[in-house]
Parts: sequence; structure tokens; C-alpha cells
Amino acid sequence: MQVGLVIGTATATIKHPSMNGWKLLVVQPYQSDGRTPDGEPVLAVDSLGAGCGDRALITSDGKGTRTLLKSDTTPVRWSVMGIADE
Amino acid sequence: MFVAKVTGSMVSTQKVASMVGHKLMIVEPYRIDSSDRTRLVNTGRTFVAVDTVGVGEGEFVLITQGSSARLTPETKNLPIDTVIVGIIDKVHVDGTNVFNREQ
Amino acid sequence: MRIGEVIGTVTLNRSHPSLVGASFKLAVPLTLSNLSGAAPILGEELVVYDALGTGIGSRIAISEGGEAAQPFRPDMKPVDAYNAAILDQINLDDSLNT
Repeated sequence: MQVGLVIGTATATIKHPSMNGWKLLVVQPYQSDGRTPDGEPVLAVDSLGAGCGDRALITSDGKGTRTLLKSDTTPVRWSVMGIADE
Repeated sequence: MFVAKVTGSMVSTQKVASMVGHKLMIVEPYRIDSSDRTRLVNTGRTFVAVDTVGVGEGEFVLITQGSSARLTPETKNLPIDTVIVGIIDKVHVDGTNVFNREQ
Repeated sequence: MRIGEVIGTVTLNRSHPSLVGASFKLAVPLTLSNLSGAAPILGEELVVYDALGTGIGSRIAISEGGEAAQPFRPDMKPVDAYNAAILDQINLDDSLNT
């Protein structure tokens, strides 16, 4: 699990059917200094209503994401599992 | 997946039983030259990959890594993480041919 | 998933039987500074399984690792990168882009 800053959203018309109706967030993980990006931003599905500027707890647990999306065949791995308090 | 060149094979007599009969190839990942995107360049890295296709030395191949390497009937029970899944014919970037097997 | 920009195609001469007829694209994962336009796209490309008919220049969602083969279940395909979506729009909050 990692904490990342929600920096944006992405929309897609043509996509794997398991993603229909799900919001895609662009989340940037940061290094311990809190300023240097740690790798590329990731796309995560969100059921909690995280928005730009939120610090989101994201997990790469594919099984958890498959349960969340109710799909055994979804290619999505990252999902938001929490939003950090202020 | 990534593009790699087969640079040799590896022979190992002493190996885990499940690997008997599987051909091991030495492969070197290549990447598109990021400055002008007109050619493939060597990354300097090297891997050992199981061959499911029947490749020869010097060929450019497509490599799958990680747990997905076990997602073939031939490799599902093997202790492997790198597999050759295809022989590359052509690589096109921005409409330009950067690799052609025939040339 | 990472965001990638499609820059090319890879054609196979011969492949594992499970990949016959598959379409493969070359995509470069995009960094935050690529997305904001502050830096040229120089990342290392990867070969992505594409079932969506994606054109060159499109931005896509790249699923990697074991999840990339999940859509084929219960069939097995040795795929470790899969185009999950063609992105129409990426809306970045510019005030956070530091």
C-alpha cells in the first residue's frame, strides 16, 4: 500500500467492461520528502469519493480490486482503500 | 512484455526435475533509442528465458516476465519468471520501421 | 495501471499458440512531468497486448503483472501488459502539479 496525492481524473469510453461506471483517479505516490514523485502516477478505481488534493491510501491488491469491481476478469489492480485525514 | 535479442543458449545438466526438456535461452532486452526513435538499442541487461516457440540465436523475440510467464500449458508448473512468447517480424515506431526481420 | 502513450506496433512472425492473432503496441509510461508537458517523453517503452484497436499517439491505461492476464480467464495467455482503456481525457489539477 502507498499513500499518494490525487492529482487528477481520467475518463475513457473504450475500456474493459469491468471498469464501466467506475471513476478513475490519477494518483501520484511521493518519496519520503513528500515532494519528489516516486515513479509514474497510477490510475486507481475509487469507491470512497476521493478528490483532487486528497491524500489517498492505494493498494495494489488485485484480488481486493476484483472483489470491489465484482469482476474476476478485470485488469485493474490499484484501488483507493482510504483517504488520509487532514 | 518487451523486445529482446537472443544471444545464446544455456545448457544445465544439474537442474530441478521440472526443467528437464525445456530450452533456456540468453536474451538481451532492447529498447527504442529515445533520442530519435529510429532504431533499437541494447539496454545492457541480460536474462535467461524459457523458449516456448523454437527460436534461434540472433533473432528478436517478445518476452513476458513475472507470474504471467507461467500462463502457458508448457510452463504452468515451472519455477520460472521469464518466457519467450514470439519471434518479432517488425517493429514500427511513429510510422517508421525500426526493425524488420527480413533485413 | 500506469498511463502510457502509444508510439508504435510490434508484429510477430511466429508466436505461442495462445497469442496467434493478437495485436501488440509499444507504449511509453508517462511521468507526472510528461503529463503536465514539462518534460519530453523519454521513458522505456513496453509491449502491450491491445484488444481495443488503439491508434498511435493515444494515451492508455496499462495493466501490468498478473492482472494483465486476468481478462483472458479461464484461458491462459502469457501476457504481462494489457491495454485496459483508451483514455479520452486526463484532467490534472494544475495547482497540485509542482
